[in-house]
Amino acid sequence: MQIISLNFISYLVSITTSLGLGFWVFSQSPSRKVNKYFLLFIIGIAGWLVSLFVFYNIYTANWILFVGRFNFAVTTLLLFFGFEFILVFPEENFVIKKWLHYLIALEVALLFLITLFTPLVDQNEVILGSSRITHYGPLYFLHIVNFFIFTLLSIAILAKKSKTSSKEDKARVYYVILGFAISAVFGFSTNILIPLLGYQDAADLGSFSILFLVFAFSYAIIKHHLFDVKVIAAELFVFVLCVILFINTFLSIGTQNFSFNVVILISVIVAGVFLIRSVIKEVEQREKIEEISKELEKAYVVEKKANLELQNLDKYKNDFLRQTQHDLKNPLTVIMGYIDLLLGGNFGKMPKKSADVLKRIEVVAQEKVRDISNFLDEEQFKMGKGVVSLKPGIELFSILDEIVNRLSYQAVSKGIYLKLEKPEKTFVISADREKLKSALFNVVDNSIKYTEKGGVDIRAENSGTVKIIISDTGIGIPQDKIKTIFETQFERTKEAKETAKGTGVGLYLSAQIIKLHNGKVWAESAGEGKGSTFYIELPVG
Amino acid sequence: MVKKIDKKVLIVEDDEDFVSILKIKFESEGFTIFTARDGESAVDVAQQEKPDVILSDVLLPKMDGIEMAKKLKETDKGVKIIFLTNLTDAGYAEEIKKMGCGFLVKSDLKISDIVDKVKEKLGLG
Repeated sequence: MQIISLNFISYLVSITTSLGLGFWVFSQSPSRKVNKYFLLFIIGIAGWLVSLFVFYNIYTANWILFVGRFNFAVTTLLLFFGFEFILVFPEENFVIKKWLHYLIALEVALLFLITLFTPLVDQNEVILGSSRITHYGPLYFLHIVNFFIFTLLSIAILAKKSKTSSKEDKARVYYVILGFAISAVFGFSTNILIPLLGYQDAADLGSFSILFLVFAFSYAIIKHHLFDVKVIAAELFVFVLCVILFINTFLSIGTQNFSFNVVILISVIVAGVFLIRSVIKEVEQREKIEEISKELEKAYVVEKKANLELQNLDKYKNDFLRQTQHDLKNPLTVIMGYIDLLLGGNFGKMPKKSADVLKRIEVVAQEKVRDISNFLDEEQFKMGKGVVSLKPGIELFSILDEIVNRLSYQAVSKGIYLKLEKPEKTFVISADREKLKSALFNVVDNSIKYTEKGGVDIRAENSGTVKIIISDTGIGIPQDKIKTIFETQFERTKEAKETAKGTGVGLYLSAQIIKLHNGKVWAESAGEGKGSTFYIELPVG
Repeated sequence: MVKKIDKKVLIVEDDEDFVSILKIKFESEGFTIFTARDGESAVDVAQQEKPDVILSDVLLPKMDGIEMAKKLKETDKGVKIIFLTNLTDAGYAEEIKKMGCGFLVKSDLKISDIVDKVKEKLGLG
């Protein structure tokens, strides 16, 4: 018996690698069924390989017959464990009836025992040099049937699982199929195709074919978990080196040589362990990084979605506010429109007394429109929305002029004056024209409201920045309130209730809008009853 | 007897009352008035009657004013459109001005002011 042959090394490597992988996969999570059945399947494969090698390398008839029968018998176990493995791989989502499961197990056990201990399957083995001729028994066909049933069932279950599995599990199933296919092709090439071409020795490499299957299955089971190409390469390298050194040690001549080889072998094993450990550590770290980046990606997707939802919500809110504005203001606009027509004589001449009443109604309607605007703007500010969109080249005087036009009747009806001093040159600023107008409107309106005698003066100055000065001869502002007048609407509401009408949000909103124009607003007053002056400073642009 | 002005104004507005207010005022000033209640029919009327100026609300049934303006500008770039709205939303105002249309806030103006703005746009000021 020539021990150190290519054939021997091929078997040795295949068997030890398979068993090594089988136990390693098992050790990764011993409680999982997949890992358990995989180990049993691998033990079956190892048993089959060992018996096959022994079968061709022993020459005692009785032993050859027993080993030959064992080789047949172990195939039934191998197929059964393979089938059990497929049932729980990658997930335990394919259930067969319990009684059927027991029946299958019983069939396998019976066939195993019959094959191993009776001549019904393997009747006799005839030795012809290095060849063995098997005389089959009457139940041999059961083996063939058994083989096809298990193989076909396994393939069918895998195919079904590949359809219903998640993307990741699908990939695992494909690895198993791929491993099986490569093994089959490799085995077919080394054992049948290449020998047919005249290279008989290729058959010695046949047992390697099983490695593809074992590796692919292992990878499929513990994908994403330390089953990296780098780790395998390191392990294989160390393993092959150890095998060679082991054989070398075995063949050493003389004690000195033997001791020397043993020392080298041990050193290589120790160094190998360190090498594999460091590679595993590196892979672990890389996997951690990959995991983190995956999580980051997930978080990004979630954030993006949330952002989109927020945008949608924001759009919905804006649409709602627009519609509300439209619906609340329109009836008032119609009232003001009809009053305009009536006062303009479009429906005939009107007695002065009636005209005065209509003018009062018009003022009230105007106030309501303004309240609605302020209220809706305030809602937008509350929601943290920038309601201002600045544009350069806005001319200031025309804005003030429109405000004065709109409020002049109010002033006249109170018996006070409202004057706008026309500046010598035009002031151009960056502004949201409508918003700035409503901000300034509120300030002028406020002055008119709190002035019973005298009136309101408006003028503008340009001294690097544009300053709008609105001074009235009204009730003034107490010193303790001069700083808070723009801060909260509540203060003003309380005060407003005592002396005048209004929702009291006007100055608060004005300050907000002016702030968004990068401007400043403040008030000065010599005290109660001594009038107030409001300053609004805006950058030129 | 009102002195006739040879100008046509299309009023696009879904509020019946506001339409009748504008119609009375504009007709009293001698304009010829057409009206539409939504953006879609406004496009039809505009293409048929070729008004000198279109006075339109922004929020309208079927097709909003901005969409309507875009559509009309496709066939006639020079079409004069003034938006008359109660929306003071800065985004809208900007979009409207970008399209080269006028932008007036209803509640800020007297009806006679609106007529003045239209005259201004037509160079009748």
